[in-house]
Order: sequence, then structure tokens, then C-alpha cells
Amino acid sequence: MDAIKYIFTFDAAHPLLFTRFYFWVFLAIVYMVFSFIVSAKEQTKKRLHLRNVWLMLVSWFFYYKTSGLFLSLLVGLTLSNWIFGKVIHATKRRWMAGIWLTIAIITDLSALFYYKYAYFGVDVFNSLFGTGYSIVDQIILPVGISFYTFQVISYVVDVFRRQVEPVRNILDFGFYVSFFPQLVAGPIVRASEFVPQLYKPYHLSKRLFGIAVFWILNGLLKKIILSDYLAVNFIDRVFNNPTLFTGPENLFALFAYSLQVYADFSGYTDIAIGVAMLFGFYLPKNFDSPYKSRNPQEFWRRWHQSLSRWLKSYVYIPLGGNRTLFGKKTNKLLAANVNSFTTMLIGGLWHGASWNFVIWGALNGIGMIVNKVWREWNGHGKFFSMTALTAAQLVIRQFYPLPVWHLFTVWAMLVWVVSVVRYLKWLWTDRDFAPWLQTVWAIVQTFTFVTFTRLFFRASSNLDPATANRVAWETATNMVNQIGGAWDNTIILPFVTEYWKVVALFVAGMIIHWLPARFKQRYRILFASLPVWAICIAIIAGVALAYVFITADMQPFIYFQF
Amino acid sequence: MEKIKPWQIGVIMLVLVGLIAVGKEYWDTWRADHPTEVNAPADNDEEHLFLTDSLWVDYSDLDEAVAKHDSAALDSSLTETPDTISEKRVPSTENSDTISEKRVPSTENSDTISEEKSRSSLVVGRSITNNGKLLLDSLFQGSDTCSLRVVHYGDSQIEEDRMSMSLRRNLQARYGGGGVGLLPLFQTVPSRTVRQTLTMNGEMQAAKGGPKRYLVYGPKKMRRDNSLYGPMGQVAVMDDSLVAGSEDIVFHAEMKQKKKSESYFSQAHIWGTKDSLILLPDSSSSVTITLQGKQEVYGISLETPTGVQLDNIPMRGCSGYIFCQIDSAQLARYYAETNTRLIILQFGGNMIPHMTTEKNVNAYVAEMRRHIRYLKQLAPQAALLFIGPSDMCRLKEGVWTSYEMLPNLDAALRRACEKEDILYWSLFESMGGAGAMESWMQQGKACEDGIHFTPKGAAEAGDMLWNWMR
Repeated sequence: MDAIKYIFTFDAAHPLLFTRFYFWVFLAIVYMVFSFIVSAKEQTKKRLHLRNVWLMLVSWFFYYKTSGLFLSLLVGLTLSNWIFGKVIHATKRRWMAGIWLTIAIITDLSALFYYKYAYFGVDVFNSLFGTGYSIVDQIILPVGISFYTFQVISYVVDVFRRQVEPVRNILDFGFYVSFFPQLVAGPIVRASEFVPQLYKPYHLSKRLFGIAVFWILNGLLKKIILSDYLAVNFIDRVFNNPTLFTGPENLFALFAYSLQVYADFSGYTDIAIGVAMLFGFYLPKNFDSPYKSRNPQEFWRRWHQSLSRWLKSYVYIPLGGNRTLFGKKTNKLLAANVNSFTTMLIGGLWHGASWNFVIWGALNGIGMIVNKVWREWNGHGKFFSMTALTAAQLVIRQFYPLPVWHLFTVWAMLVWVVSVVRYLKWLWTDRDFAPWLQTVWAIVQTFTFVTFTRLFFRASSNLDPATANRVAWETATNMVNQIGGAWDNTIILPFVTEYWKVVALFVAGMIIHWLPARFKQRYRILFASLPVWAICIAIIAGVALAYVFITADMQPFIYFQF
Repeated sequence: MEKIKPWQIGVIMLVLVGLIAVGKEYWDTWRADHPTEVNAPADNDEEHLFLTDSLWVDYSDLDEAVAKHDSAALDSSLTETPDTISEKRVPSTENSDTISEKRVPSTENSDTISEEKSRSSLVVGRSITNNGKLLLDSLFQGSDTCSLRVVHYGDSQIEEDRMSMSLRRNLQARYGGGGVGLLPLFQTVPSRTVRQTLTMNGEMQAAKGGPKRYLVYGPKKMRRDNSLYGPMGQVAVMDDSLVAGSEDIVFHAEMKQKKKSESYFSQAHIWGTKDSLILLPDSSSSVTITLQGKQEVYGISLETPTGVQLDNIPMRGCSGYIFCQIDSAQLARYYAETNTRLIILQFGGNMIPHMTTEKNVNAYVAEMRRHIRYLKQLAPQAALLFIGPSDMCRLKEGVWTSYEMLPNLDAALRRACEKEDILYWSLFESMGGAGAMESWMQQGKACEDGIHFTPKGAAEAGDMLWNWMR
């Protein structure tokens, strides 16, 4: 009886996640039934509909096991947006359709704002007007709400733009909104990309099966080893208590956190892509080795691509793109910069409802704009501006010898030295000199910039916005103080020795990340070409490896500074 | 193109899931049969250490261990009574003019301060308890006419003024007083209450190049060749390597939070070889002190002449085995002159990861008793309170699990404190016992390392302590 209760009821302490064994049992059973549905010789419309309904029902079960009765919210949004889609499509007058679209978007955003931004909104209101309102009831954030609300918004907008026909059957639509692999953590699937797949018959070649398995294993190992293991054994400790650790340890933790965030998020979406592929559905790629980026714009093209594309289509372009600003035609550069900055702010807020995420978004926006402007300058402009900036930094540091200025000064001087070399080269010749070296330097700069913006990215999800802001700000301050304070270099070697597992995993993770895309593609195809029995052995080996890391003893606490 | 049928994938999945389930069972059983060896921490590690001066004594039981310690003489330096010790203080001959900057000049020397305070001090002793609880009002009787002190020693759990802050604010709200108490000259760990800097000739003080910092609880390379570490167990030494004759060592401290009791103080007491009391304007919330010349600084206390002061003295990585290594005369003088009424010891957490047997627990407790007795002799006027470790957990088989020996250590410490006739407060039990740390982590009250409190958790633990004390 207890077992049945465990299987069929929601337990907040044990949500159904990809990293739990229970999920894979669930998947195997779902797949068996699915295989009976699609194994028929002829995949008629009826069969396809049955397949979609089955997958929708199990997706709803999956969501219930993850979020409990918030399932009703998902069902409600599905129903309302299906109706809105129909109405918008049927309305002949554009302005009337526009009104329906506005109502639909307001409905969707209201749900998102209530659950995600209510505390933050009240907090902002209180600080603006000096009031003391508070939300009495505890609002719990439904899992995946940020993803599926964006997904349904994309649907109604695409229907309005006539880029997609409204889905005829509500059950098919329900399946599109709630398909379980991408329900919780994306990728955000746009209607125009997914809806056509609803009517296509199932097809999976042996090679695609191999690719699907590869994505699943890849994601699982990324998530468990490069994300969870690194986090629990080192990164969380430093971010929780930066002052317990020395400058070098803090700096290492910050870079390792960059890898962890990537491994966590991309690992999850890799699994989602692989699982969806097993069912014959193709989800868009969400990450393209983002730390290979040479500038912030490229980073945002490679990082969380489905969100970037969503924001571009449904925020940046409606804002005016690079043509108009506040509805008026203006200078292209100005329009593009202001609109992309606003988009980044909204992108920041999408990641979390507190100021630290706004700061994070703003830093990214500033980085993009500065880089765009910088790239337009010639050699003189770049060199003299960098010289002036470094000199200013040195003066500031002299008068305010704080760790933060110390840190900026070290970085500015490093960039300045490189800019001297580049300037001399520019004066000497127009020819491209050692382009690979320039690429490496550009990657290092972008990776460092992105990593330092992450100081504001990490916040505990179980805190109210005011506390989350304070904690994030304190963490950032303490980490900067530790990193920018004086270093005792004698601890670096003992640190590497004591934490060799953590350091080795970080280095290995980064090396794999930086492998050429073509090389990665080659070994992916090689894996997919293996015979089925070899793939099965690889699965068992991969799972065993993951389990060894799950059950590994924790790295003991070691202090290097007293 | 080669095809694979969906039912084949389904079967493969079911078989693999089954195989993995069986493999998992085997692996778990094997792991249970082959536990990882927990090594005793090395005590000869020069570079770093898990614990300070840890020692594993293989006693068969607690009584045997205690008997052994009972027969052993305490530290040989402890032959004098505290009264005579106070005369043997580190000389304070130089005047304080070279030290002060922003203050009313202090004409009193520390002898007169000590006399004044001792007149108003009451012999309260450590028996101010009622069924194992403190009688607070009796303990802090006289706080309206003189300054009384609480010294809170602990490990990294109390760093950043965690727990101490709540306790201090509660005590000062009830018995008056202000200021944060003792601060080291050179602070390596930021505090939640004080923003502190040390500059030398205008340059921000770094780990190197300024006053030498010695710690009784640090790795061996940070120890000094005598036992003059002062009441905080750390000392900043300005010696020949530093002095070119004109170095200005500028200590600056300002309170981070306004309108809190610690942000109102009116004097700064420098404890060191150039002892001095610097009078400040009433309700100061910041102070800048310039130090010159050779000297040793054991700590600077920001305080008021009446009410209660509480020193937060965190010792990172420390198991508590350090008190006997601090000069007894220095400690006794500090406790006497500051009218120390309560000494809190909060240790044990650093030992827990290395404890696997009851013997380990007994060895630790027995050694800790030696240090408790040492303090009892040095501070006869003070009550002693031992706070055991909090619940602590680590990931085991992928699940957050409390350390197995925590209940044993908690119980053994309680028994030891009863025998020593000092107070014991079980933080472990107050939190909710084994498993509590995991729920504290989920509620944002503990860090994700399973060991340390967040500021929110520390405030709650501090309030729990206060409620228990009341």
C-alpha cells in the first residue's frame, strides 16, 4: 500500500527528477506502452493522436509528481491558450486579434507574475513608497512555470503572426505544452518548431537512437559529476562562506561555478533532448559550448539558446530591434543598444525574482554594449582608451586601497599589456597575426567577464527577495574582498594537492568543453554507430560511474587560512 | 538506414533498469561492508591542518581517561593564584601618547583601571546556577556601575560574530553596555557587525609585510616560541622586522549596523605590551587608532565603562585544545580586570568528522576537561558554559546524513560538564537532534556544507541560546 502511495502521490521532498532512478523506471514503463502505440504497421492519424494523448497524460503525471496540484495551473493555461489561439486565428480584424492576443499575454504573464514576482513586486513597491506591505500567504513557485508560460506565449504570438496554424485538438495542444522532457527546465520550444511534429509519424533510426542515448548519458554525467559533485564538495562551501577560504580558493570556486552552472543546466537539457529524441521528437539545441565565445554577444548566442531566441523574437524585435526606439525611428546603434540592454534586464529578471538577477542582466547588457562599441574603434582608440582606463584604475586604487579596486587594477593592467602588444602590431602591419592567439585571448576575456558576472547569479531559491538580495550582495562582496585581498601564494600547491579531485574534474570539464565541435561531433557519431550491445554496456558503465560519484565520500573540510 | 523497433528500445530500457537496480543493490551492500577508513588527523602537519593540536588517546573508557588527567598536574605555570598573577602582567611602561589619535588623552594607566574595576567586582563564582541554568540577574549584578564581560570562544561556527551577535544584543538590551568587545588588530575574517581595516603607511594591510600575526590555534608555522598569545589566542607583533622608525599602523573599526547596541561605545582598551585605555566621545560608532613603535597587541576592546561586553573569539579549525597553551598570567589578568562573569566555550564540531568510536569521543572529552579546569582556575569569578557542536551532516550514499557520533559526543560533553560543575547547553538537541541540519539547510538557516549556519540560522541559534539562558 505504501509503495502504491509512493508511486502515485506527490511528495515535495522527492520530486521526480532526471537524476533519480525512479524517473528511469517511469520512462521505461511509459516507453513500453508508447512502443505498442507506434508499432502498428500503419501510423494513422488516430494512432498519432493516441500517441500524443498518452504522452500528454504521462507528462501530466510527471508534472504532478514534480509539483503536485500546480498541475491545475498547467492544465488551466493549456486550456486558455488553446482557446485564445483559436479565437485569435478566427478573428478577421487585425486590431481585434491584437486585443485578444494582449488578453492572452496578460493572462499568461499574470500567472507568472503572481507566482514568481509577487514578493519581489511588493518589495520594490515598499522600497519606492516607504510602505510596509507584506504577502501573508506563502507563495510557492510552481516548477517550470517560467518555461511553459513562455512557451504558450510563443504559441499565441506565432498564431497571431500567422507563423503557425492553431492546433486543432486540445489534447494535441496539451501535449505540446506539457511534453515532460522539456517541461521543467527547457529548452523553451516554440510553437512553430514543435507543433508540426505533432502530426508526423514516429521514426527513429538506429543511429538516432545512439545519438539520443549519447545525449542522455552526456547530460547525466555532466549533471552528476561536473555539477553536483563539484558543487557539494567545493563550490557551495565557498559561496556559502567565502571568508572561510583564501583568495585563490575563492577565485577557483568562482570559475568552477561557471562550469557548474553550465554543466547543471546544459546537462539537464541534454537529457531532455535525448529523451525526447527516443520518442521521435526533436527539441532545439540549447547550449553550444558557450565558453568558447569570443565576445559577450556570441556568448548569448551560444548560452541558453532557446531563451535567447525567444527574447529576440518576442522582446527585442517588438521593442524595435535595431530600427526604432520607443516606437520612433532613431540612430541604429542607439536603438540596438538600448533595446538589447532592456532585453538583457528582462532576461536577468527571468532567471530569478530579485535585484541581483537584474544586476546580473545589466552587467551582461553593459558588457555587450561596451564590446560592440569597442570593436568599432581603430587601434589608436583602443590603445589610448585602455591606457586611460588603466591609469584611472591605478589612481583610484592609490586613494582607495580596497580589494575591489585592487582586483580591477590587476585585470586592467593585464588587458593593458596585451593592448600594447596589439597596438604595436597594428601600427606595424594590417595583416592578421597569430589569429589563434587572438581567439584564445578573446575567449579568456569573455570567460572571465561572464564568470565575474556570476557573482550576482547565485542565490538561494528558498529565500525571499530581500534576503536573497542581501545574501547575494554579501557573498559577492566577501568573495571580491577575498580575491582582491593579498594572496598567500604558498597555499596554492597544498590546495591543489588536497583538492586534487575537484581541481582535476574542473580542468577535465573545461578541456572537454573546449574540444573542437567537429571532434565532438565525430565521437558522437562514432558512439551512435556502435552496435546496440556496446551501447548497452556504455549505458551501464556510464550509470555506474555516475553512481560512484553520487555515493562518493565528501571531501573533508580543510582550512588554509587562519 | 538501419532501423531499431520501438518495442526493442522498450525492452532494452526495462532490462537496463532492472540490471542497474540489481547493480545498485550490490554496490550499496559492498560499500556498507567496506567503509572508508577515517584517519585520525595528523598533528604534525606543517602546512595546514584539519584540527589544531588534535590527539587521539586510546583510552578504553572515559573514567580511565579522566583518572589519568586527574593525576596529571595541570600546566606547571599554574602554581600561582590569580591574585598574584595580576601583578605579573606584561610590563606596560610606555605611555599611550604615541598610540592615540582621535581621542581624549588617557591619563589613567592600567593599574588604576584594574583597581577601580576590582573594587566594584563581585565574587559571583560559577555556582550561579539553578538546576543547570544560569541565574542571569545574579551573574550580571552590578552592571550598572561597572563593566562586566562575557567571553565567547568557539570554532568557525561563531565566525563573523555569528551567534555572539544575538547574545550580545540581548544581554546589552537587558543589562546595558555597548560596543563589540575585543577585536584583533589584524582581522582576517570579516564580521557582520564591524568593518575593520589595518593600514601601514597608507597601504592596506596584507597578510605579509605588516605586524606579524601569531595564532595559538593555527598551523605550526603560525605559532610563536613562547605562550604569550593573549586572551584571544592571537597576537600581532610589531618588532624589528617592521620598525624603520616611522611606520604608522592605523587600526580603523566602524560598526556596520546603526542603532544596534554594539554601535554605541565610549572607550577603546588596547590590550598589549603598551596597554592603554582611550576615552572616546559617548556613543561612538567608529574609531581610528594609530600605533607606533615596538609592541605586541593582543586585542582592542571597543566598550563602555558600564554594562555588559561580549567578546566574540572565533578560532577556525580549532577543537578547543588550546587554552593550556596560553600564558596563564595573561588570561587570568584579562578575566580579572574585565570582570569576566561568563566564559562560553563552543567546540567539538571540528572533531566530529574524525570520530568513529566511543573511544575517540572519550579521548576528546577527557582532553577538553583539562582545558576547562585550566580556565576554571584562571577565572574563579566566572561561570563557565560549554556549548556542544550543532547537528552536522554530510552526503552519504547521496543522502544528507548526520554524523553518527554526534549524540555520543553531545552526551559525553554533558556528563563531563556535570562532573566539572559547569553549565552545558546542547545546541544539537536544541536544533532538533540528528537530521535537524538538513532541514535547517532547506530552510536557508544553514549553509550547504552541512556544518555552518547562515546569518539567519546563527541569529536563531543565538536567540535559542538566549532563551535557554533566561
